[in-house]
Amino acid sequence: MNAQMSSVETPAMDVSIARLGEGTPLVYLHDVLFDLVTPEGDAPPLLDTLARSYEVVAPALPGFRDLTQLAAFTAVGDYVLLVRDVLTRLGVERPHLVGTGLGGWIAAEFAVFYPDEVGTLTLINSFGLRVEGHPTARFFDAAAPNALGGRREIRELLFLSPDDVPATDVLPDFPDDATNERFFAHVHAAARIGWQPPAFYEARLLGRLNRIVAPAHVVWAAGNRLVDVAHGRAFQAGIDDAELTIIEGAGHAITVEQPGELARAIVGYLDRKDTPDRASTSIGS
Amino acid sequence: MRFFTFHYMPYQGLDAAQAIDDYGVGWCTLPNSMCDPEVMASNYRDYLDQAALADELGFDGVTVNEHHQTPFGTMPNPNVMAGAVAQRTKRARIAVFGNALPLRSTPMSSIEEYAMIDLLSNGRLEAGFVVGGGPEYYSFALSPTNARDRFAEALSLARRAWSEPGPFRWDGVHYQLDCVNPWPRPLQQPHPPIWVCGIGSPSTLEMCARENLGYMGVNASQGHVDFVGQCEYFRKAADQYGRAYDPARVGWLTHIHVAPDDDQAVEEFAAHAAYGGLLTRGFGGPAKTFYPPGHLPPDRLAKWERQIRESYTAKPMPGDPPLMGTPETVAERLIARLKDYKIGNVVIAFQWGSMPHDMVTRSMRMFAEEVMPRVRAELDQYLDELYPDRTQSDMATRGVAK
Repeated sequence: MNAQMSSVETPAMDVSIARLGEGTPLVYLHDVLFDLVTPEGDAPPLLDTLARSYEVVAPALPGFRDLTQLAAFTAVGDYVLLVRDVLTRLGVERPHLVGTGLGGWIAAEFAVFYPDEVGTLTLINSFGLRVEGHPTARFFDAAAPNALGGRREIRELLFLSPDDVPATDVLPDFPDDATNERFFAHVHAAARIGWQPPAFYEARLLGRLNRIVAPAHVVWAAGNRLVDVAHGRAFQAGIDDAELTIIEGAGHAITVEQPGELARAIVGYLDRKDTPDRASTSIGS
Repeated sequence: MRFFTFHYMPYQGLDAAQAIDDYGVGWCTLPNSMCDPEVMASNYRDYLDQAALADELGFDGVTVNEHHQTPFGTMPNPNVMAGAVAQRTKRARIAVFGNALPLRSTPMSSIEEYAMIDLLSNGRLEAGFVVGGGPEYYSFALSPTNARDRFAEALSLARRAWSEPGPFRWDGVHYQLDCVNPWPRPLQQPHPPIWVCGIGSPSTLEMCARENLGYMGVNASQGHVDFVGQCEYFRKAADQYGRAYDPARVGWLTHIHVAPDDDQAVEEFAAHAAYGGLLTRGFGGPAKTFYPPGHLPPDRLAKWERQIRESYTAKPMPGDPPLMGTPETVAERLIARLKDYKIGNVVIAFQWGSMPHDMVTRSMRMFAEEVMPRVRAELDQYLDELYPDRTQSDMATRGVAK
């Protein structure tokens, strides 16, 4: 399915928005790699599937279209305000908020600071927590330039099967300069808040999770080597009303390795939670 | 033409091959239990002796520089070493190439320490500033994605702190200071010559030309053609900003090794350079940690990665003729290089890797006695013809050794 592309103006930057499907709005915040709708509107399989049941609204996070956008962003709070600005401009109220990895971290922070503005919260392999004894793996080491080794190291971190399709398709070893440049640009954009403190966390988030009031669905890949399942359990334990679903057969890159299973889990939960009250939420004109 | 010596001041007590075998890395995480303080102290003594010798031999300057958490370079605070060098030298300029501004919580500590060095050395400081190497952003857990922004703001603050009477307030993006008022003030007024040390980013060259700062190319493995390009870029940029090109504002770092025989020079250098080469290894890949995200723009990273790969997989290309050999060989090659660059400063790393003190001092002596006078005379004449006004440069007229 091809997404409809548009742009909304916010004080910090113009945000590229992809929309696809019809129904209750589902706002999707993307991860560092793989699940971003292209500027031409090509949506990854996960969003395609979700769009059969919902209107998927997927903003591009700061820097992922244009690194100069990062100028206005130094802390995760800047990202939270950006998401709120986007929702306000689009007239989206109490959406299903879904985020993967980096996007999951921002979604969780948003739900902490604006608990009443979230219909449901779905966190997939989310960054954001510091969990004792389970440090987030050194993503930026694995993603660093490696002239001879190619992308093997980052594939190994993100995929359950690093040497097979789809891993070798989406992260080929020696791509052309343009593809490679896009990879480095996305890693750069993620490093803006991911690097410091090292490895994608906000030390205070764990203690703030109990401020989240929306029903939450925490979805984790059993084979996640970047942020292991202990993080999923910590999210579940910290949020008052949370369920945890663990999916086999995938690593952190679950949106590429198991998009079908993942979509089924997301939609299954939302179907159960979709009360008449929430079903009436919609996008304003 | 000015000649500076350069020094990484490596820790020389490692079995480098074994260390890299065991740990895969010469930076950040190589265990510091491998640093024997007795060896380090002895290395420091040799290196300070080499600085004193450079002063005696008539080099125009002695250079120190900053690295962290690595045996590759053991001056986490080069200003401490510059203070020591100030006491061991009488006339040579003391170049700090440079202080890594973004790694400091504010640039004020740099400003203060530089003023101290300038006072202690009777106005001999060349004040260099640098963004800091990739590994340092790992060591400091500082985001490399805004390193260049922090650097630019810190440099502006430093220049203002030296140029305007204090106290004043600074309300910046990265630094907020209620009271900028550094004591003491440097001896050279309004401030020592300012250098930006870089590896050829167009934005850095552009900034130096625009702001009339010195540009010091500190990539010692820089290819000849690449550096010619950087020099051309700098001259064009100076022209764009309506400024006469000043050769004294550009410098170049290189390795040189002089010996009585060409083959001997190449062999001696190669034997000891291997140690330095091993220590530049990043986390498992060639020089990986040198470029954390944001430290270079994505297009340059992609290009760099491809070029490194090609250099390993392609048939070896004839490299630039190395500056190793007899005084005759080195002088000829150095003159050719410098004429292509049209610059007024060369910064020479005689010591590199595991090269021992006696070999370093022999090479320095031969260079100073047999190479330097010839290169200096020829280049001065060459630059005078090209740029007749160059002797009036405020960078060139400070403390030039005669």
